Amino acid sequence: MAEGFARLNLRFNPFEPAASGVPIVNGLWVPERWASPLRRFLDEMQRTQGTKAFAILGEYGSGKTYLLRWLEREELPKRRIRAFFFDNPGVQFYDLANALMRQLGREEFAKALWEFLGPRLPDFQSSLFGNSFQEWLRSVKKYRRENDAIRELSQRIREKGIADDEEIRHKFARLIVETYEQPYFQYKDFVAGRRGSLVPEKEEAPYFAAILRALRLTGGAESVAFLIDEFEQVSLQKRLTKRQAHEYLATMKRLINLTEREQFWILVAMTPQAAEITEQLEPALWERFISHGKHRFQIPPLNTEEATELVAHRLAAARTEGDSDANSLFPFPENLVELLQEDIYSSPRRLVKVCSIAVARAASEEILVPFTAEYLEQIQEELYPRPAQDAPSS
Amino acid sequence: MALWMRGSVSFVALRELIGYIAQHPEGVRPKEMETWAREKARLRTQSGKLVSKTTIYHYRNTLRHLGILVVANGRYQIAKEQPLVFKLLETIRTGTPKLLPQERELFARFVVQNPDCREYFFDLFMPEGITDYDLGGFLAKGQPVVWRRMEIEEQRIEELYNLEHREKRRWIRSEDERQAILYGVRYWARNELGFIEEIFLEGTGGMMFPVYLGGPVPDPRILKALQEAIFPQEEWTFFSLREIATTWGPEYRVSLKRLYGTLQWTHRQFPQYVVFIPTSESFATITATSPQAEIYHLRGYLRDEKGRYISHIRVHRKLKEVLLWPKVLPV
Repeated sequence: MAEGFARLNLRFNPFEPAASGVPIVNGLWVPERWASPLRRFLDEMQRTQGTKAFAILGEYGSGKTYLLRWLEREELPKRRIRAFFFDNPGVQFYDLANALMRQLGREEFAKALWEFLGPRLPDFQSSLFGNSFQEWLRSVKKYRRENDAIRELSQRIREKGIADDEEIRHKFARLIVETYEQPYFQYKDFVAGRRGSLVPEKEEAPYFAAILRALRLTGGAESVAFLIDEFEQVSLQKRLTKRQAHEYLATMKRLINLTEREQFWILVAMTPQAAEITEQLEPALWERFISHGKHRFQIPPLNTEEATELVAHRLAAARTEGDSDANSLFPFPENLVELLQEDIYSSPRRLVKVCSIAVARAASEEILVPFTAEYLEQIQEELYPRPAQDAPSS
Repeated sequence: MALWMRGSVSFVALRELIGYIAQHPEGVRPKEMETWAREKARLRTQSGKLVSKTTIYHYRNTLRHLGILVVANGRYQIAKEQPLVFKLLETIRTGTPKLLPQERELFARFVVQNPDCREYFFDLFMPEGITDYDLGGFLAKGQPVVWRRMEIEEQRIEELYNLEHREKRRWIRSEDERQAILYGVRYWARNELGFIEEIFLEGTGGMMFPVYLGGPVPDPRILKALQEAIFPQEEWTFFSLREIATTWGPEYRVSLKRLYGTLQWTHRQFPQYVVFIPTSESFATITATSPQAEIYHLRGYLRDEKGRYISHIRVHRKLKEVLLWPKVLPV
């Protein structure tokens, strides 16, 4: 197979066969038409106050996930914004907290928080408590100082500006201390009102704000951003109850409120339909979310230049060292896009899929290179067969 | 006085019943009607059950109120002296599982001219000042009407209002009115006879509008509207199908089946220029609280050959040119 790729001037196939997700090698490239509006939004909102929410709209396969990943990997770190990526977040506010904390891991979050807070237990020799988080936890348990530790942590949480509310501070402190016995999160930890729950009841927004502050401060970041993909898949179950539909809208409201008060950003990718329905359900909420149309971006289909550039960028990442012609489309013909149908080259997913099959097949079979129009036509027809035409009726 | 219109009425069954009574010029008694319907014709409801006595009562009651039957000495007879009834008798062909287009049109004329159906339902669609109309007038001049359900002081209430003249409205407060208007006349016009179309819009409710009973697919008027709506300066133009349905539907008085059929035809003809954008089914039915409501909410979406619900399309500007080809869009 390696020999087959060598014939194509490639080290590997740079196009994913499923054409979903993002490449793992090299930096991510997005067309300037996509990057500009997002950079403008980030520039503007880093300087001013207001709702730091943004909606990215696009059909399936248009590059929403890719664009969010580009923000996560390329654009947000440059601005010291700590990004968290979510798929299908669920309708309830604490579903987000659950997804976030599980992404971080309990031990990692608790440890980062503990290090940031630097708790000191009075009337105890410091040597008894060791220097590491694990040793500290073990000693607290061994000497039955849980209540003291929780009190101390709670105090430090206030001093460090993470939270004022007593119940929230207590829950956070417990989250740290009880990590010794349960070093992972469970869903029930985020069910408010349940025995042993780590979240307070009816205090969702302040609690969440405290998490955001903790994430920001422990990560040395200027702010925190949530990148939420497939927002339209709000529920794994097919039908939402009335209450869940209400919770979905309530969650959106709370998130927007948080972006106004905290150093918190939210970027949501959804289908145009999800945006349309949300707007119809709550026009005022939607207008607030997208700041009367300013914070909304409909991903445009790729034009011929962008499609060519996308293919060239992918190929460049897989070229052998010393290959000087980085912009070449080889093994594709230079007029590749002219040979593809409009619905194929305009959709990143379809384009990548066609290229993936073309390269994979040519790596294992004797396919003429540069690829011929017939070869590319055959692959397009295999992957996206043209529907049978029907006669008019009355 | 209780209203008589009921959604359980099948117009195919009404046609069969008319055919049976027409064979008995002396008239038919209710008991004979029941025996014939249940034992000979074995008429069935939409759910497949054998019709009950109550359903047969609603059948004959509907035909009487529509002026197709008269009662003399306890016997139901065809009101042959009425020219429209005479025409109906000449037109109907019993024994087919569906109504013929001509049969649908004639039944629709009876329903639209009925004073109760007009007062409680069709008048809401008509512009101010138009009180004298027939089916043709209704289809040509009727305006969109929205219905929506709400709960006021734990009581279920429905509101119907004319979208262009919101002062034209009706409140449904009793179960009798609900059965007669929402599940009676509305169902007849929408499901049985197909001369109103309905699309559900979140935050608004069910939007209904008159549609012509037949017409070609593809519809040249829709193709022309599509052609004109494409932005020549943009490579692709996006359309929300429900937006198209709620503007072109009432404007051209075309059913969703024909409207979406036209778009599907365009997609099949020019797949490189028309891209269907599917929606998440769970989001499309986000406010549905029952399986029936889900089906109702999904009515507004185009369902493609792969079974996907399509909410939007994008169209390449080249379609603007190819739609002008004489063989596609005769000028």
